[in-house]
Amino acid sequence: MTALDTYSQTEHPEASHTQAVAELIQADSLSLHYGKTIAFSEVSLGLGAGEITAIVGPSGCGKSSFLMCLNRLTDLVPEAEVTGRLSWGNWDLLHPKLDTTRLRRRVGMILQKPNPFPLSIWKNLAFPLAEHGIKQRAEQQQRIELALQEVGLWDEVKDRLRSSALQLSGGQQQRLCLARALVLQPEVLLMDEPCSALDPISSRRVEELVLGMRGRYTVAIVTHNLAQAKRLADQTAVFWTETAGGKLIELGATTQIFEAPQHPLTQDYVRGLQG
Amino acid sequence: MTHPFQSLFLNSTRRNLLLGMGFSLLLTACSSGSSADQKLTLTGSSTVAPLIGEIAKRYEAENPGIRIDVQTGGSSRGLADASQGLADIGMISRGLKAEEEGEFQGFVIAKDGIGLIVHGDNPVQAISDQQVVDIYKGEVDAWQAVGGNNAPITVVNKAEGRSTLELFLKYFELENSEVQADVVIGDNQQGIKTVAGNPNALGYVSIGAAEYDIAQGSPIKLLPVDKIAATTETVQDGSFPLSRPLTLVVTEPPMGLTQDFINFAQSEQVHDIVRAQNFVPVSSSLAQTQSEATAN
Amino acid sequence: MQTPSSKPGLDWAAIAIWTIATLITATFCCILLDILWHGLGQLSWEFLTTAPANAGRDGGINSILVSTGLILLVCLSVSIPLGVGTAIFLAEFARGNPQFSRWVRRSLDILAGVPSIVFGLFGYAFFVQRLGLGFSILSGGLTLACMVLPILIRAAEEGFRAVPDGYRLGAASLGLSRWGTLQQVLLPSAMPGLVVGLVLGIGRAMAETAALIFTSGYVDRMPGSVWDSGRSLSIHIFDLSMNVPGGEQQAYGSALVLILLLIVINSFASWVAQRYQLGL
Repeated sequence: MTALDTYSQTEHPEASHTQAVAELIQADSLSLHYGKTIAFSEVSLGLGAGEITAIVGPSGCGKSSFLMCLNRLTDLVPEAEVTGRLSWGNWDLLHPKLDTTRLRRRVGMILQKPNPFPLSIWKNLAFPLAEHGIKQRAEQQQRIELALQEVGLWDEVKDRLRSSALQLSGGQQQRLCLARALVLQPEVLLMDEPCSALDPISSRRVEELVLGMRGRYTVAIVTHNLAQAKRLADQTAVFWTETAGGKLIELGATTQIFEAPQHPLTQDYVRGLQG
Repeated sequence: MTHPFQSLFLNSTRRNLLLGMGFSLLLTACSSGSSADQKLTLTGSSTVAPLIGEIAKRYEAENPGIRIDVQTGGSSRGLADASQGLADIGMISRGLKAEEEGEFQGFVIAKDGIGLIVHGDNPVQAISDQQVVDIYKGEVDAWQAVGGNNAPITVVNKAEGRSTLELFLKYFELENSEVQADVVIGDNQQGIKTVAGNPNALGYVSIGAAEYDIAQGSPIKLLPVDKIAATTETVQDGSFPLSRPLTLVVTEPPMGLTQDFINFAQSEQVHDIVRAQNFVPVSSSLAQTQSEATAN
Repeated sequence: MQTPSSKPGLDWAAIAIWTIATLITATFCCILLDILWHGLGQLSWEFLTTAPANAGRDGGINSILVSTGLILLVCLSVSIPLGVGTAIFLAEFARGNPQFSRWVRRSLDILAGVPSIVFGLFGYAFFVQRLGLGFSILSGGLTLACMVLPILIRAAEEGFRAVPDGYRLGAASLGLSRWGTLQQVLLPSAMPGLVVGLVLGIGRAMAETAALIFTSGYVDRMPGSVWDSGRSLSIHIFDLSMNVPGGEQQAYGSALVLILLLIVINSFASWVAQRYQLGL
């Protein structure tokens, strides 16, 4: 019996909530290859519990790939190979026998382009709940209402829960996706440029929601928008493309990154000279 | 106030219902099964099939509980299916050949004359057998050579495997490889349409079918063969040389239902059906001997 | 930079394309008008509800319609699950094995181009004789299913490939099961492709004569079950226009019914798909 198995047996998913928030997600010398292509290499980075971490950098430096390691979406890519260490408390996230269903329930993800399922608004939230064993209508209803209220969508959609989610506006769709992640009551949220496909007003709303999550969720947000990172993040990680794929060139408190950057590339980048 | 989730539930039920409907329909269709006490299957010539289909319907009406299934696909399939036992009776639009006499027994139920047809505007009134041979071999390719207009002849031939073709080739002692056809057609109707639409065409089709279409105003005319006019009368009295018997074939001496149906198909009771299908009735006493005569 | 000489060339291409398009549309309209012109007079409630008589020259086509419906039902209830299943396998599960999927796809494309008579002979040898189903609606429907499958699979597969990857990624990041995702998300959004395949398949099945004459057969009696032989509309039309002198008018009437039926089925399929796709 491995330590992992013991861990999963003793710990009830619900009970883990408070405990896990106190823990850190820590990557050590994490690298990702797609066949011979290197996405990023040797990244060491900790996501502080209840903190918002912004990941910034030019396109193609492995920011999104890094997020995909955290909820093991890399498993979907046949040639992807992750090396190094990635742990969440005493949970080894790279363990080959890891229960990814359980991991992904605790780690929600929002993608750049809103991707609500082509189902009704209600079903978009009820379907993931049912898949994770929450099939009682009363509990579903309570959780769905809560999640929709949390993203400020409840009042807008409560009268048309059974109409198609695809009929919502882009901003509403993105907030629905956020609610879809929240309805599973995750502890961590990964956001891959969640505002870049939205208009400024919708973008601002999502940003406010993210800000409201500080302290309650551990958030990692990839963004191209430096001002956004500055507004939101407790700590900021700067990725950069080098000859052999992406690298983490600087990591620090957001104020430090923007006011006293150490790395010359970061200095140019935050001044808007590069990237 | 109706609960929004209630109608959601109904919706998914309705979808399942729709999917299930197809299967349940299929199951119902399967379970009802066959109700006929006795069944007879006939396959073969597409020329004979419509006629036998009508005869079968009358027979079924007179004999409740009996079902007669008529299939089609050509004379050769009629022989093959009868031989393999897939059909109780085969249908062929010719007499039995000498080499087939050993395996099959034939019963003529009607006759069909094959007539040469040309367009109604064609001034040619008759062509000799030798001229037909020359035209089909491509040695004569203009109407003026046989007393017609100064125009090329469009030779219309039947597709391989059709018994009309076999009969035609046999009578004129032609090989199909010798025939220089401009148009190859499959069925009577197609042949009639081809000739009706081409003033310079020469073709051959069932006399019954041609007479019907002429009566309906189709611009074609039948040419005599060996100086004998192509009419249902000359086919019936046996004087028209280019005719074929429509024959039912069986592999074993018919008994029971098979025998009863063959007798019915040869009887006076179906002569009106035979005429209605543009064929020529034969009297049942002559039927078997005529089948043998044609084969020789 | 555009030179003046390239302009007339462009126009010629446009003219050629327009001419071809017009010719094709015109031909189609001619056929349709011809069938409407000759067939409309035949069309009546009685034509649809009475049995054929006098080798099809008189009476109606009620038994033919029922047989056609049953043949189609057998064909679709076999080909839809099998076709969609194969398409799902090819599009969703065989991604890691492109060699294999390429091989399957090529075989399907060849099968889709095989003349229907070959399927007819196969159906005759296999379903009618080997499996002993005889001349029956079952044999005919199964033969048609074999014929329709390649078309259905290829179109359905395209449908699945057209589903945005965001759905798959989204479902995976929520920890949803593959089966649940397939059922609830991928299937509905692949609907347009499935419907295209279905419409093409139904079109081919309804128009088929060669494959059916050897399998479902020629009997124009009202079928009692799928074990009975039954004549499809297409065979009825073929027989009336080819083997039955004087059957032309009825053939036109039947052809019109066939076209109307196709339009109705296709509209229904699109309607169902649209509702499905919106998640209603």
